Amino acid sequence: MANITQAYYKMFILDELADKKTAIHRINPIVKIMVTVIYLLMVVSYDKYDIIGLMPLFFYPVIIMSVGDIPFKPMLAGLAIAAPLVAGVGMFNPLLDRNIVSTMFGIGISAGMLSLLALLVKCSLTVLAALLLLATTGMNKIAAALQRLHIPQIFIMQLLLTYRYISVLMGEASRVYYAYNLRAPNQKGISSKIWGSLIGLLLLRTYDRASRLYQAMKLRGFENQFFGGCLDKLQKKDIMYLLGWTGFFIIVRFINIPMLLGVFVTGVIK
Amino acid sequence: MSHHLVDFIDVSYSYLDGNKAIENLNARIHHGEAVGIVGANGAGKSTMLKLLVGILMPEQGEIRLGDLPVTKKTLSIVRQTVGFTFQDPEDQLFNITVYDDVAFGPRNYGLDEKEVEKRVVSALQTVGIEHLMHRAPYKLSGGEKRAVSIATVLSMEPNVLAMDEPTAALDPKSRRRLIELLQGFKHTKLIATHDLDLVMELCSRTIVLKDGRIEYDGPTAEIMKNTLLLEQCGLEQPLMLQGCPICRQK
Amino acid sequence: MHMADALITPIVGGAMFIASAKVGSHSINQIKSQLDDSKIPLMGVMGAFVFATQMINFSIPGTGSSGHLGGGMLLAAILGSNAGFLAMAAILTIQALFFADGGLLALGCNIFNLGFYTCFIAYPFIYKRILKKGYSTSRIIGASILASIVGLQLGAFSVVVQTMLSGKIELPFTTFLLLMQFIHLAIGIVEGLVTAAVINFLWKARPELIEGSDAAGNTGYSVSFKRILTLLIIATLVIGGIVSLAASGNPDGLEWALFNSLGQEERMQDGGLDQMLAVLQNKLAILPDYSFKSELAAPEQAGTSISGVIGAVITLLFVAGAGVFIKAFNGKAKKDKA
Repeated sequence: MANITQAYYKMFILDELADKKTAIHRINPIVKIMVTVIYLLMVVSYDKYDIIGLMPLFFYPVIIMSVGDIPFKPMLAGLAIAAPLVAGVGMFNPLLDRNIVSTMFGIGISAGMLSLLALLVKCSLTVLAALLLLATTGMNKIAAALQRLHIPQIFIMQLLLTYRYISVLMGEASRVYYAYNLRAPNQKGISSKIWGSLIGLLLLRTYDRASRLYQAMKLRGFENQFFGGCLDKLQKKDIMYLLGWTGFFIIVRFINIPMLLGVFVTGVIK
Repeated sequence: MSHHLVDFIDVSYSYLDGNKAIENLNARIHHGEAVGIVGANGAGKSTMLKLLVGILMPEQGEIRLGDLPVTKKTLSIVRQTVGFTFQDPEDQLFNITVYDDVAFGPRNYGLDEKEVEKRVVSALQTVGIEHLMHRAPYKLSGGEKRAVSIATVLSMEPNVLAMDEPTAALDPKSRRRLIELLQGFKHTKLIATHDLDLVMELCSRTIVLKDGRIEYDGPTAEIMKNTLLLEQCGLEQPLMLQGCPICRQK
Repeated sequence: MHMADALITPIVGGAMFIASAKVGSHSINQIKSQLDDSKIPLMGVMGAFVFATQMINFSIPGTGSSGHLGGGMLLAAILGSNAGFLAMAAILTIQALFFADGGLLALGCNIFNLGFYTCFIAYPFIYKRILKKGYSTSRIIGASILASIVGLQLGAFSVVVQTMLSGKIELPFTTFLLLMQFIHLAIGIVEGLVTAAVINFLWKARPELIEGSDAAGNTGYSVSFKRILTLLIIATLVIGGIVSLAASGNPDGLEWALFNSLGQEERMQDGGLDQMLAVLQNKLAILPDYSFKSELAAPEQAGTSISGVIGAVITLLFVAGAGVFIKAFNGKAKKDKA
């Protein structure tokens, strides 16, 4: 689990990347959410064996990453979390679905192998799309967009407060944890004798923090209302962005371009 | 305006478990006065400030801001008049950007976005951290967080500042900067602290609390010379008055 | 276990999204009607608390291994059903955005699987029932363990069903089910033990926190069984309706999943579920064109032919080329500016 925590820490880098001011970053957050959702729907709607048709969809993350100036490295941590699960469930596909559908260079390729590969490709694409939404938009603007999309305010406050205090509480928890480990070397985890008190004390402090937080909010006139960040009005470029990508997704979804390309090229060679 | 007087009239408060935190406290603080509130841990310093802003309500006695009593009904005006900063700025900065945090109060008081922006910018300018406007509060240093927490209060344009341990966990330079900043403020100031040097530099008057009672209330210069009383109250002379340890040895 | 985007179809994801949104708006209305805004910061900070405690390893006595806390049951015990559910939903949303843990399309599935069963089934009907007679160490332990296990078992079952309805994996229904239920039994026991330890500690240190949240549950906003039942039925209808509508035109959907499980059924002829499926198979067999298994097994458009592969490679080269080109262009623009 410690690895995951490290991955989590690394992932907060994404929110910092959202401070950049590239063309992608300047697109209206609502539009970016819509494009992301359409993209995800497209990706998962492909036939379970269709890998080749999926290929043009790689354009989306690659273009966003290069125009948005987003490095690939922080994305890897996200892939590291999601991929093992998908691979774990999907690895039975080659074992159970053994129909040989094609032989290539003398090696038989089974339908199961194809579907596993397609699953992994889909996993990478969906993970990339989700992380890129955050890296080019940022938590604040996503929250503002959600508000515009009529997501209830209580939930948005929830989201922002949770996000805000993750770093504080992670700091607290890791200090307690290190303090424990410093005096209890060679242990694999917290001993069951103090499960309750260690977490419980942390929880009491959390509780007290929540009540101070509530006081701080009340002192500045909080009455259960929420003020989202401001969003710019929809501009022409936002509409273009939306229509452009949607059009592209639809075209590649219904016309298998790589296949046509391949047929064309092999035809020419012959 | 008589508004700016702060009156504690025979105030008592005890915790849920029955322990007295404040007992029969009487004090009048005048407009523009800077008062240091000192005392050992648990002497009632924070409680006194919390009573002032109505986080806690006295079980006996009354607190008045000029003509205005602190009651449930007047809380909204009281909290506009008195700006309270917490010991841990982390508790006070709960938004995702510095801007939103400083704007939180003005927005809650229903100001329009233009006025809010004006207030935010001027509050940030006052504490000299305009450049942090779009940063995330949790990525700031301790000194910066403290500065932001003061700005969140200034944006409400209060007349009185109540501060709980403002110099706690600050490095010497940040502490110096904070003192200089506070010296420039014309607000009435109530500062609860263990930092007696801060009191020496900033406050002309000092209130010493011991077990919820006032042991001393008067000019700072006098109490700081009274080593006996200071010791009885769990305190120690400010370092600047304690002769140089190196010279003395040599 | 978090459901992943890649494992579900849009229909399953969408249906679960609607179901979760329904439960969420129910919770929000309940909280609003209580008019208690002091819970709002507590919910937020508790959400962050769960994030933080997930990083702490607990050594499990007698096994030599370690586990960690999921936190769902603890959230429900401290915050109650409604606030607990919303806090869980916020946690899962952040995980989906920041770590792609679960994913955005599967978010509805995850909120339902991990939030609904714990907060609206296990908490009110097991945890609170057991503690109704009063608090004691042993009752807290029993309630926490049982509720954690039940919550996680239901969630795991839900994951299996959603995956099967989406039909993207070959793992037979029963195998997957047994695997998931077994893994989550182990997880549930650990979760229950740690939760019990924490609640016991809190109960002794600050009883009002634990009993207070319970009292709030008994007065005014108790979760009535009818309400839950209605919510569940609505969710089932929505999901069932949408899935069956879609399945008719979508070989990736329900029928396919069933068909797949039936293929397995020929080999393992025991078990009530299999028999049930056998009946279904008979019904389905009346339908014409039931050769799509073989059709799918040799998918033409999947194009494992040489030309398909060549096309794919060319496409990827284009993708890479586009990336390199834009990067170079950007770099040049930056230099020009400087």
